Amino acid sequence: MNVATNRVVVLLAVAVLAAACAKFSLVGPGRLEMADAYTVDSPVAWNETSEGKVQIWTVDGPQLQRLTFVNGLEDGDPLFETKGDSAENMPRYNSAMTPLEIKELIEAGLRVSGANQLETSDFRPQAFGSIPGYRFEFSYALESGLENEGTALAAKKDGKLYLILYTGTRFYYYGKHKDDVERLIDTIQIL
Amino acid sequence: MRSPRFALAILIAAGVATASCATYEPSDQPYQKGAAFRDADIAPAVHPALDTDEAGLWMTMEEAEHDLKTAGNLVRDEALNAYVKGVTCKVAGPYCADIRVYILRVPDFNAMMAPNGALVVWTGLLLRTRNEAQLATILGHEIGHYIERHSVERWRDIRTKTDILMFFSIATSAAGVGYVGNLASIGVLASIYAYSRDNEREADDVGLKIMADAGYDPREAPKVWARLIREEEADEDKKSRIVFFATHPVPEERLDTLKAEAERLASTGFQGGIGVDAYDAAVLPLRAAFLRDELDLRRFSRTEALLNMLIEDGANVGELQFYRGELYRLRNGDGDLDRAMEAYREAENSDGPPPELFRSIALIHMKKGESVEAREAFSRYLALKPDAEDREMIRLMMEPAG
Repeated sequence: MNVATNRVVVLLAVAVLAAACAKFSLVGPGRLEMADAYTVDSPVAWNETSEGKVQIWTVDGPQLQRLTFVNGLEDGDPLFETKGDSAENMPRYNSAMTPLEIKELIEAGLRVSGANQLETSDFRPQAFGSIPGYRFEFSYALESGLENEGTALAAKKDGKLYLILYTGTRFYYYGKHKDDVERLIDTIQIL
Repeated sequence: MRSPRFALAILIAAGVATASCATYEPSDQPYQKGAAFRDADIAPAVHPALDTDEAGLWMTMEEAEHDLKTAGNLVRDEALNAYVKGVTCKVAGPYCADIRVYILRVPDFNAMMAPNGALVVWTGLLLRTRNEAQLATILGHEIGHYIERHSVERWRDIRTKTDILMFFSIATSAAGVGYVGNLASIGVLASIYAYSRDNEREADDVGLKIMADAGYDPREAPKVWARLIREEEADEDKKSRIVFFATHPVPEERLDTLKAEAERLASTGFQGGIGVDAYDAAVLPLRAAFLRDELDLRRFSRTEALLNMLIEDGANVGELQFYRGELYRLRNGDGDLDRAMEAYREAENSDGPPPELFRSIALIHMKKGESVEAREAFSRYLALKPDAEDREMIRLMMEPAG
């Protein structure tokens, strides 16, 4: 039993250290380029960190609000990069997916990432720069019970999926930069 | 650190076990309602004396329980909570007031009893037990652990080996994602602290007697285990064991003992009810959400076996066939689109399919390039659910160019 216990402790400790490694740097305000695919004009400055095809921006901290860009998912890519069990459960993108299935993909990805009691609303067409995209609103609770809100905008370009996801606590932090995010979305220019 | 996961970890830790030293001898005396099973039993309405280590354990558990009350995945549906609490009280008898029930939305079969009377039930359990007697079996078993103070025994043992709070705080801060993403890890943690065989035999024995005494048919008890074993055997991926099996070991060995004991009780006059209607009234309204949670785990072979068992039981088969179709559509392997369509057709011809059935049928038609049929199915979906949240998107997809 002790061997097994120690092994779990070591694995968990390694995971903690890995999670603590994220480095943030300042981006914006102004026009910023996203993975050679499009640009956005941000009215405010954000703290930015990235891993693989995912960029995360936040002003007050990623636990309070975050703007996530998933840039150019290709066939077979998991929606979000995660480690451990959730990596196996993370749904994967397929370029043949219809908008309904993309929404399903995002919902499952959010749930696997820890969104409880996820509710979505108002799934509708919305332009992503000059290309057709789609958008929906959502709400969920973290494991602590903290209630969050979110909005998701997605589009496919050359078979690759681009996703902008803005989430934050229902109380204060989601609303704090919601207008900035709307303005940023309005200024998307496809390259 | 004070997250529900922490609470869960504490509950697992406390609700779990290393080998106990006491040897249990089943009593062949006739069972009497409210009678103590052993001298060490906790009595109804009794709290441990403040100067004992047990009182300290209760205080720790009360903090963990505070987190449970605000957990993001706590099921707040009043009818379901009232129902499960009601069944708990029937089984617990004089202990009713000592036990608080928390239903957590986690897609696996599990129930955990903390030493201070906090009883956690996962929704995956409610999806798998099929009547009130089967639910009462598991609740009785957990109440048995409470009455017999098993978690206190185990805690005393664990405490001498490692600093349990340190251990679980590490587990907590490492866990960054949801229960759905971490069931296998939870299973590993839980199995380190599995109940001893003696504890399990005791809880089985007490649980069976109090559920039979509460008016339930004891012969339903072994059926719960048999169904879980069947589900595990169908699991081709073997990604994770049912969490309950991790903390409650050797189900196969116990099944025979339980069957024999259930028959013995039934032959001595304990032939109570099964309670299908009340169970379905409480659980069926939420079952679709529980099934969706199962699909998130992508344990497709196991979920397929579960769906097949539920279909055999026959409540709202249209809904079950719809989710069987969803399983194949999401799995998307060779021949799965055809399997999905077959299941959707079964759903259409059975009771209770949701409107979303026709949206899914439309998606399959789209994938096969059958645009006329796809539009027709989308129309049926919108006719059944005119205020659907995705209506604008669906209308766009119905346009010939879309």
